[in-house]
Amino acid sequence: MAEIKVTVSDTQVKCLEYAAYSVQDWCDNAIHNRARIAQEDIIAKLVTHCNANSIALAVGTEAQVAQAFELKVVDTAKNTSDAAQTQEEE
Amino acid sequence: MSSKIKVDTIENVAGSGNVSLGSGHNLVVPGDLTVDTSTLKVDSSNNRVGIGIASPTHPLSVNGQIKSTGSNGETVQLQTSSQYTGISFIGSDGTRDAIIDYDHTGGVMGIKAHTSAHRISMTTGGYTERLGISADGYVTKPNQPYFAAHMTGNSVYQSRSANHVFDFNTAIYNVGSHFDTSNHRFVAPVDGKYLFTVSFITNDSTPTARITFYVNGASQVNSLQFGISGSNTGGGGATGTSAIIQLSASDYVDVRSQAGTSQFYEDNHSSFTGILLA
Repeated sequence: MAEIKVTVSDTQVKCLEYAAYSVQDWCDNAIHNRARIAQEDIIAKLVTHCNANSIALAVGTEAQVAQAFELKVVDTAKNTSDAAQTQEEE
Repeated sequence: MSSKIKVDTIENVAGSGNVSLGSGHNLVVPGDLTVDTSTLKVDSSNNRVGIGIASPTHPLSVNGQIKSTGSNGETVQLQTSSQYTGISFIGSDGTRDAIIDYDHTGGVMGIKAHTSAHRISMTTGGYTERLGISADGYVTKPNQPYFAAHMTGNSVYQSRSANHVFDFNTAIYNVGSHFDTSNHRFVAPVDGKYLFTVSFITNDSTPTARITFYVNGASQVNSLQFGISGSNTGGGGATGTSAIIQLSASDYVDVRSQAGTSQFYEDNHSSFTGILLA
């Protein structure tokens, strides 16, 4: 399990407390929900790739996400952005 | 002083290589100029220039792609003295299929599918359509966040206390996947105004439940309880409510009873829907 640390000022905490019943719950939900949507996207791309190339699909969401990265069906946003930047500079 | 030298061909003294004018001397061509048959053609009688075309039909005719580069952001500027300035898209049959223009008098930027059966499509993320206007003027936004969910699994009237998040665990539609069936929350992908509706079949013998839309876990936003509504008595009665809620990205909405105990039929008789309006 990874831990993502976000540092906010006391004022920002007060502002978040104004916006949400529980600041921790709001933060958790924002992160988990974005991860869930990304996971659905990754698996959809993996399924398309496996069907098109007659590759056995891994079982379970964790294995499927790992398989998508292993097969280079997807890559990290940092890698794709950096690669695109390098391509533009050439 | 004027003089003429008449020759058929001018060559470099070495027999090959460039022929150059001396520094400070200009080349004046009063008639046509042809470079490599059609690479560059100047039609002096019609005042036209062709690039890649031997017989230019317009002041500048180009057969091929045009690429403009430079450090200025405005790589192409269009200016006319008439009301409209624009670009036309002509099909291979000569038909004007589409126009992008600006009406300087009316102050209107126009994107026009000129041919009657054609449509306008705006895409992002490659060639995925995000906004379409049909030939009949129907505006569609295929990726507009939208969901419609109901409950499955319980199939009977359930007694729920206040603050219980109603278990909309099945999404029939979930465009963009912004509704999470595991925690029954819709999470706003962008800042905007969202319309939500919810309806239940209720069997409250004592109508104490007051359903409302909770935003970020709170029953009130700026003292406003979105869509709060009482529930009816008797088996088969119905209750429902709706609200348009301004949300920021990552804000979430779910449905709860703000007070009292609910007795709702937790099956596909109850629904929770939402859509981004603007």
